[in-house]
Parts: sequence; C-alpha cells; structure tokens
Amino acid sequence: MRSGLVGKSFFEVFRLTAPLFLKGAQMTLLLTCVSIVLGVCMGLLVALLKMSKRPACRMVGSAYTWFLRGTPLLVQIWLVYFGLGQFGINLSGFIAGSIALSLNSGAYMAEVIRAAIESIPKGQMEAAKSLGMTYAQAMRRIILPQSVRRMVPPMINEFVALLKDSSLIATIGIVELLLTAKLLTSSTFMPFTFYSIVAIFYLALTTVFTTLGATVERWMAALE
Amino acid sequence: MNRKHVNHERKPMVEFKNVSKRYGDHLVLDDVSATVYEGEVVVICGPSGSGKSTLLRAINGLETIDEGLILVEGKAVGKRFENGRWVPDTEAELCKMRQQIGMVFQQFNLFPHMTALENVMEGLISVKKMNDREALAVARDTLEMMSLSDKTGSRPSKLSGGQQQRVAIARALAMRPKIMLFDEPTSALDPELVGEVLNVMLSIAREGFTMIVVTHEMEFARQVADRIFFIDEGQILVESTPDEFFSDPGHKRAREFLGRLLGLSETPDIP
Repeated sequence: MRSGLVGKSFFEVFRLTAPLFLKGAQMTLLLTCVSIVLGVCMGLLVALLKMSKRPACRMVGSAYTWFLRGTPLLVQIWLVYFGLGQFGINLSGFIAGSIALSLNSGAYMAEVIRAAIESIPKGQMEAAKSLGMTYAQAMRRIILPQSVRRMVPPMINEFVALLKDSSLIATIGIVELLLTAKLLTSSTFMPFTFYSIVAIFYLALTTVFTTLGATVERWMAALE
Repeated sequence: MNRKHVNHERKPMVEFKNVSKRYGDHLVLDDVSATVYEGEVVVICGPSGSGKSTLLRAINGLETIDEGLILVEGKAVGKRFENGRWVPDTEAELCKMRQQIGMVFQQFNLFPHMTALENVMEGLISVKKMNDREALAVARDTLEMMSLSDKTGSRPSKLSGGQQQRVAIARALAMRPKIMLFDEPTSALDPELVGEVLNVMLSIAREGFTMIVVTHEMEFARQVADRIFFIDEGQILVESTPDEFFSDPGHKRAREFLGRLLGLSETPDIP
C-alpha cells in the first residue's frame, strides 16, 4: 500500500493515510490527557510545597521546578526511558513517556496553580481560620474552589503546549502522530507530504482546544 | 440604654500581658497590658496605624506577637506551658480556641462562591461537624435575627455592603462564640448603610456577649461600650468609661484624636 502512494496527489495520499494518522492522534491525545491529569496532581503538590511555611518544603518545591523547567523535555524523557534502564528499571515507552510528560507539566502547572491560589484575597484564609477551620479545610472548602476558576483557562493553554511537546515521545518508539509521519516517510520518501499532513493534524487539535479554552475563559469570566 | 456596670470580680475573658510586636524597626504594640471581662463591651479607638487592629487580630492568633502573653479564658493564645517551657500550640488547639472567638472584618471577607446561607453553614458543618439539617436550621435562625431571611439564597456579590456585613456577623455568631471581635466593621460601608450594622451589633451587645470592637463610630462607643481603650503608637494610653472618655479623656493625644473625629478641633488635621 505504501509504495502505491508514490505519484498520487496530496489529497489522495491524505485520504488514504488518514486512518493511520487518526490512530496516531488517538495516541497523542491519550498521552496528553494522562499527563495533564497527573501533571495537575503533581502541580498542586508542588504548589503547596512552594507556599509552605517550612523552608525545607519550599526548597523541595523550588528544586523540582528548577530542574524540570531548566532542562530539555527530551532529556527528561530519555532519562526516564533509557536512564532508568541502567538500574534495571525497564518501563514501557508509554509509561516512561507519561511519567516524563507528567513530571514536566507538573512544574508548569505548579506555577499556574500557585498564581491562582495567591490571587485569592488574604481575607478569605483569615475568615476561614477565624471560624476555626484548619489550613487543609480552608484550602479545600474556601481557597481551591475559588481559585479553580482562575486556573482552568491557563491550564487549557498548558494542555495545548503539552499536546505539541508530546511529539518528543516519538523518539522512544510510541507511534503517536509524529512517529506515524516518520514511519510513512521512511517507506515512501515523501517527507514533505507526510510532515505537512502531520502538521495539519496537530493544527486541527490545537485549534479545537484553543477555541475551547477561549470559550471556557469567557464563561468563567461571566461566572465571577 | 441598660448599661452594665463593670464588676471587676467578674471573670477575665481576654488578658493582654506585656504584649509587644514589631515589624522590622517599627514597634506596633509596645508593652500592652489590659483585661477585658466576661460580658463586657470594649471599644478600641485610636489613629490609623496605632496598632489597634493588630491588637485585636492577635487575640485569635491571626497576628503573632513577639513578646508577652494573651490569655483567652486563662489559656494562652498560640502556645502553652509544658515541662517548664513554652511550646507552640498544635493547629488543632489553635482551631479549637478560634471556635470560641467570632471575628468580623472590615472587608466582610464573605466566601463569594457560596450563598448567604452557605456562608453561615460552612463553619457549622466543617468545624462544628453538624449535619446539614442542623446547620441549615441554625443558619436560617441566625440570618433571621439579622433580618436577612429574604436573602438566604443570594451570593455576596448580589448584596449591599450592609447586608454583606450582616451575613458576616451571622456567620461568626452562628458558631456560638464566647467572644466577638469586630475589626472596623463599618469602615468600608457607605454612610447610609452604617446604621443597620451598628443596630445589629447593639442587639448582640444586649445579649451579653463579650465584645471587642475597633471602630471610629464614637456614637456607638458612647451608647454601647462599657469601656473605651484609646491606643496610640502601640500603647493603651487611656482606659475609661464612655462618660469619662467623652467629657475628658485625660490624655493630650486622646483629646486631639477626639477633637479631630468630632470635628471640634481648632487645629487642622492635614499638616
């Protein structure tokens, strides 16, 4: 089938290979979704560490973001996938990729979450404390519900960024969008065609989520 | 006005013992000692930046102090004496103490994501561990006392400043505290809304709550307070009954303050 693509028009090639790209897109979306969910959990933890009263906690939080924002994502992915192999920890590409992407997005999410929490007026925490609520109760019942509204729009932006960054997972053999294009290219020698098609797929995904983000942002603004 | 007579054999509710606090080089509270008795209404007044809010907020541990001791019903705020030395209270102990102390803020600090009713129910459910039905009943009753029965379903943003502050008072009061603290409760209100909040505070005072009120409302102080503390530069300069205070506070700076506030002063207030 692949050699049969040579000489066909772009649209014909697009039509014939679209099912392969759709499968790749599924993998890209799955990786991104898993990583964003774990990234938000990680980010919340790191944000709380960074806002802690204990200097040791703050240091751990800062070290985390310092490392993950200061090194290339590709290096982080290879560290988890190949690096851990040196200690006999052999993770599948999907698991290693999800871990690396989650840890990385956790560092960016931490900033998003911290900014949103710190944007809530101090009086809210004081009012909660004056009722006798613990710090954890005040966070859960008063501060976080209010800050979530302010977190969602920047989180959708992070989602779009992560969706594009997930293409780096192609390097550890997960057949997501980019690797689909690369595999087709190597058997047909039509790099321009297939990298154009993959760009179209990425563009379609990011456009959908950016538009969704803008809608949610308007919706949240109306809610406040 | 049925003014209670201060009986110094009554139980001390809040005691300040040589309390000092500094922000950097600035001494906000300078060796403050005073006692507020059970059932007493004390108004704290003084120029802005005099330390009056800091003193009030130290009672429930929203501000920490550097030296001295604050006792609430004989128990030190934020620390306890154990095996010959002072150790910081655990969070649980601090929370338990704060349940006894209601606080009303200048900016109301209502929870904007909840209705008036939910604001009042929040502490009852998460702190007092009431079930929803009990909490609902208590919250409804308390809001009714504040004449807010028709506003139970409203979010704070849909209420006037005076209504918001009354919800905030209901939120504190519903916890059945022994002490109510008011930190400039009417300063953020439009003048025409001040009266409704002061009326509510007056009715609370009549119920016999121990109240400590930081305010510039001298008419309220005159009518409701058992005693007035005048603070300037971190020190309580005057402690007296309203009668004494308004006829002659007995201290130059208190006289100047009163003069400025009541508009009687010859000296202009802006240099």
